[in-house]
Amino acid sequence: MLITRAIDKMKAYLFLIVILAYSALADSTGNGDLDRPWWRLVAINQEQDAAVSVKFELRFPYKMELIENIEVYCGFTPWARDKTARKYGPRELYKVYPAVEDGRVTLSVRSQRMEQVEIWARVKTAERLDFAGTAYNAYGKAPQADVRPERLAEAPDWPALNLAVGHNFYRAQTGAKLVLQPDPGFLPDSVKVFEDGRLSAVLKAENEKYSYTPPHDEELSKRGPAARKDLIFLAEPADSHEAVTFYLPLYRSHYGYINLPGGLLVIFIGAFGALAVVLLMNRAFRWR
Amino acid sequence: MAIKVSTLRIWVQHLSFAVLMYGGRLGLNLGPALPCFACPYVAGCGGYCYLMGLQGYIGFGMSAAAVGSSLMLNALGWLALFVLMVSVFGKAWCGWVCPFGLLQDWLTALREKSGARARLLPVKTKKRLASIKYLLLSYLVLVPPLVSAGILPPDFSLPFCSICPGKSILPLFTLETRYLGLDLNNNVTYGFSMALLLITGLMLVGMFFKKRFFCVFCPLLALIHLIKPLTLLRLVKEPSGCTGCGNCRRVCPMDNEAVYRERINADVQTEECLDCLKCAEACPSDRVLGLNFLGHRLFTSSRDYASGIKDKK
Repeated sequence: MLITRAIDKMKAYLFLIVILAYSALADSTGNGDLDRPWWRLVAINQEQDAAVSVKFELRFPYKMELIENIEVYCGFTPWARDKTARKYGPRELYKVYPAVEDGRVTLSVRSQRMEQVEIWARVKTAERLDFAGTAYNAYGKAPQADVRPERLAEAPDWPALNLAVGHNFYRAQTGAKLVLQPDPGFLPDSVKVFEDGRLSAVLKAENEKYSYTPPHDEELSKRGPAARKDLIFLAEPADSHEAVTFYLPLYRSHYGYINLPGGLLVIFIGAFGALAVVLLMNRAFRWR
Repeated sequence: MAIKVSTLRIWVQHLSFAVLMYGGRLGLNLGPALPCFACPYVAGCGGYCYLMGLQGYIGFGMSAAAVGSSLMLNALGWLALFVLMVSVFGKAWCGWVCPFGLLQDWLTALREKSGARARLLPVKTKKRLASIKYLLLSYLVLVPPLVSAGILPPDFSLPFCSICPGKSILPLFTLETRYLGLDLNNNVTYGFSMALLLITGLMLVGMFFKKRFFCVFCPLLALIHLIKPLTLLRLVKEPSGCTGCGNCRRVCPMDNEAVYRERINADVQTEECLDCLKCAEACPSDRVLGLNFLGHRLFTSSRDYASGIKDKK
């Protein structure tokens, strides 16, 4: 009897250890475990002169020594004004050089004006050629123009996934549909979605576009409107040594979790309460 | 024939409404320091209500990064512009420009058309309710620093906008119904949206039965009143010529009695006054009530003018 109890206890402890080990592993397997290079937003800083600096880190699964070459370029599409998003300027392309320190590759992009920023990277190893992209809107308002080196006349012919949304796009949110459009000539069979450190969906092409609606995330919602998590799209054509990732910081929904009938009911209750007070008071105009 | 002040005011109100609600669609941006309810939640609005900026700047000002930064200077610049605009035009922002004020005037016109009787607040109740605007002003000033300090969650960062009925009602003029819904993102947003929508229902009924009902609670009116010593535009009275007819009290949309009761001082620019000039239009005595700008009389009451004004209760 005692032996059976001891064995049961051991089984329980063993089970607990396995669960704890798995949890620890699950915690450590963030998006960092994606086995392709991808950009990750590190920080958004308001500069002293009202410019906005956004720092990204290029995450990759290989050791730094295995990388033969990293090339990065940025596209900047200025807006004429925030309210007239249709008036946006031509895209300006620049070759940029990320900082490499302690095996980390980081890139800080400063925006003096309001503009859409796109970043592309090509990471070359002996065996693979991978591409990582991201895009965001910057709302800089500094008087001094940015000094940007090495302007390019046209974009390198790299495969890429792009956001197929207008320039009114504010930011990726849970509950709001995202549409991705690959560059012409690059049409993978499917695009995988990595969210919360795991594969959450496989998207199929519809009219050469891929759409995905990130699901509601209670934890993210509790952390406030500025909290974000990583959302990565991965396109990997079959029989290819190339992969393309596209990264977006995902924020909680502004529109996705609105209960309109419930809201109208609350307005009605408020109005009904006020009407009841008015009728009960029934106070006519009176001179004192 | 000269245009009447009330007609001119209606034109100015409607023009302001169009500019402030839709001006952004034409590229207009009057900045975030407007002393009226130009709601930032209206997509394509022509400028922003200063209350939103104030909440943001106060929250930002509590952070260490703010000290000496150009963003801090930017915030001070907008504050200076707000004070300047209030100094020049005073409460005329409320009576002549505010889109939410015009909305209340529309509801009043609707009530008058419908034949429903107006309700007046008892004097004691009105006095008690009037202090709410200062409580709201304190609330919107005190809460953002608590968010900056990490004591309250980030969803408290715009505490007044979260319960302002302008947020739920004004976007409807751009067919935006989003703010009429309960926000189920988390408990804080749910609580705020519940409070907002209850207040919206209450205000809609209140504004229908009582002229300028929301203005009784408006923290922007309180803020503008705090800058009163600097204002150049003032409602003035010559008490010696007043016959005590009570027209000024009867036509006032704020049920302001101070103009009627004042028997000594010339300055009748009280906390509740919106500079709408209805009292001056209805005053049947020559040069008793008027509007002064830097000592120059812009408009003055007269028997001839009042005789042409239809006295509406």
